[in-house]
Amino acid sequence: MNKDTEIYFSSIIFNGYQDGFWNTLYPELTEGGKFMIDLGRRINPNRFVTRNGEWSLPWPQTLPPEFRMPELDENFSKSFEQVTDERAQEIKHRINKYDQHFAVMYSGGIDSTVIMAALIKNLTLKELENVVVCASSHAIVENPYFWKHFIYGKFKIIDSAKTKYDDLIEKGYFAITADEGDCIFGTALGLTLYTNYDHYLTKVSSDMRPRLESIKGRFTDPSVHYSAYKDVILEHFKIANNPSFAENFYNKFEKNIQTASVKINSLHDYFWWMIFNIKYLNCSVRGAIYYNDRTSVEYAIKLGIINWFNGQDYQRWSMVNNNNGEKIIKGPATYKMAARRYIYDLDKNEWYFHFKIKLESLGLSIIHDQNVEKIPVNMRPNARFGIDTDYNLLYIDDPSVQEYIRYHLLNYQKDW
Amino acid sequence: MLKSWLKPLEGIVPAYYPLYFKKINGHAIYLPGVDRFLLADTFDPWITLEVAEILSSKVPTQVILLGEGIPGLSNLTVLEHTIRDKTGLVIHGANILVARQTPLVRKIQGEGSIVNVGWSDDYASPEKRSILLKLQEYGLFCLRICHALKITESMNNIVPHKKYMEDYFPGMVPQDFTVPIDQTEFPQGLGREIKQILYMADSVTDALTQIEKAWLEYSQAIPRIRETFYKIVGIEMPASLSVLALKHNFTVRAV
Repeated sequence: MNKDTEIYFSSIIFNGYQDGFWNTLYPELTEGGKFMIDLGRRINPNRFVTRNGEWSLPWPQTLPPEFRMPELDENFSKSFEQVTDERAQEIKHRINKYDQHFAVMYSGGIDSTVIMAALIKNLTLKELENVVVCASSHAIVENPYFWKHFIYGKFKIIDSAKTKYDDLIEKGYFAITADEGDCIFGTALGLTLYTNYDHYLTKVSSDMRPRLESIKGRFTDPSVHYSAYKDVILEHFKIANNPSFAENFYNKFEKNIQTASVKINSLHDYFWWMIFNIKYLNCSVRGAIYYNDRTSVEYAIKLGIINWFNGQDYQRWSMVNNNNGEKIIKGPATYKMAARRYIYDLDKNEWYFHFKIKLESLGLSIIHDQNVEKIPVNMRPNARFGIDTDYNLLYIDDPSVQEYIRYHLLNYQKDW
Repeated sequence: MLKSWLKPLEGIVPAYYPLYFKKINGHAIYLPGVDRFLLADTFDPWITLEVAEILSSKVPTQVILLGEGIPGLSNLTVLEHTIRDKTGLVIHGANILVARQTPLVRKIQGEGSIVNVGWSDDYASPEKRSILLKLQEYGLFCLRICHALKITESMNNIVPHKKYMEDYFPGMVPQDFTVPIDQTEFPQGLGREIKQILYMADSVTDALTQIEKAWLEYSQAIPRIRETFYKIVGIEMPASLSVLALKHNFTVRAV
């Protein structure tokens, strides 16, 4: 690896293993480099890469072609239901034409339940024999009704606590993941701001408070521009011992929004754009990079792992359905309304429809050890920094990777 | 007419929670063989029952809830107190239905139903006195450990899935499916294994040594869990535990 190496994906993460490296590097850096590491602390990890508009990174970055953002099509008129049914039809076609087998990574959350509902609605019982469910006990407790009535006894079940993507691919499956569901609907970063709004109000200056009180709850109102919430956003993103970080982050993202080809209006648009644009790549490739040890990352990204929501039509749908009640109405239990309706149409589970909230399935899973005993510590998932444009994994303990990071962070200047 | 469950403060339920009547030390462990109370607690009657279960490896116990008119017991003088009328409790005898090694909860009512009768004559000798005081300290130690376990698990156990699978999903979990009890490496879960130590240990020192050894053996527990546990117990974490490092064999799993 040399200083000109281009990368597809990078991560500044504080996961216990890499903390020392980033903390040691930090004092040497200028404001730009420090900001990128602080963003890792606040967002943990910092894996932002732009798909539209400016968002500079310290190192040469190219976007993998699979994850480019489609052009905005304001005339796009397919419904979520239609797009989802068509996605299931693609799987149906692959089963009938090529006899391919699929493993759905099922968590019981709304996104992966949409996948299962779509397959159940659109495939015949015979076709569903080519589908297995890869799930853990999290999935059972997260959606007990669906487990009882639609999964258990009806599908072959693979224990996801013992199974990574490479295991599935080696067994001949194409793995289907819903990892990009949040990208289509918005982000938990927004939900946590909405639910802490009153708390943040106590922190803002008293002259701003009445104005912010008056727009409370209007997070999906396109007539209230997100910038009206700036003081609350700054409170939301602030970190200890660095008073300028939140303003820096706000301004850097503002530059991205101002240079993007999609118009951002409401506060929910703002957070949606954060995940739909600069966090999209992370959601798309993290499974192939961190939950896969043997399969080539290139094969996993391009073929082995199917990101259900990465379809062009899902993205187009997402770009023309802001602030109309499809993504969120107001509170956490109205998040992903279009998906809730799609599931309800099948399972008629009014409790799930009315009360399901976003749970941190990813976060929960960290308590499970991966079977990595046979992998050297410095090559385990927690030691991975990213991938280059040849899909080579980059490890944080590799001296050339360290030198690469150091060189680019030292030379990274604030450009916003 | 309003359904009973829509009137949560009415009915019999509050009577089983002495703290509801602001009674301090309102649930106690009674030793039928000594005919004295061993200890009393304020916070949670069901943890008192757990402690009575743990102590039952050493001594028959019963849990007594003190009714509204009865003053709470002080742990300084609890060993001098007994129940005046035990005829209704039927805790001695050969009837397996009522005389068992496994404790139950009983509720007693009425002013004067608890009396101070002084130290037990059977335990007056220095040796007997010493063993009874040792038992009391062990009981209070178990009480603190059980509170610490309950609080630690309640605050940290984000995967109590074994309980859920067993209680709510009978016959609906594939064979050999991974079902975590908690996020420690204790094979049967933190709470269960430490209570097993308490059940079998001979003394406070013995129990503390075994608990430290267990934490060391199952060292992958997230440090915060160990820290919370020892903090709530109220003692410093042993040095051997505070230096344990993570193994870094975990990461996020995409779903």
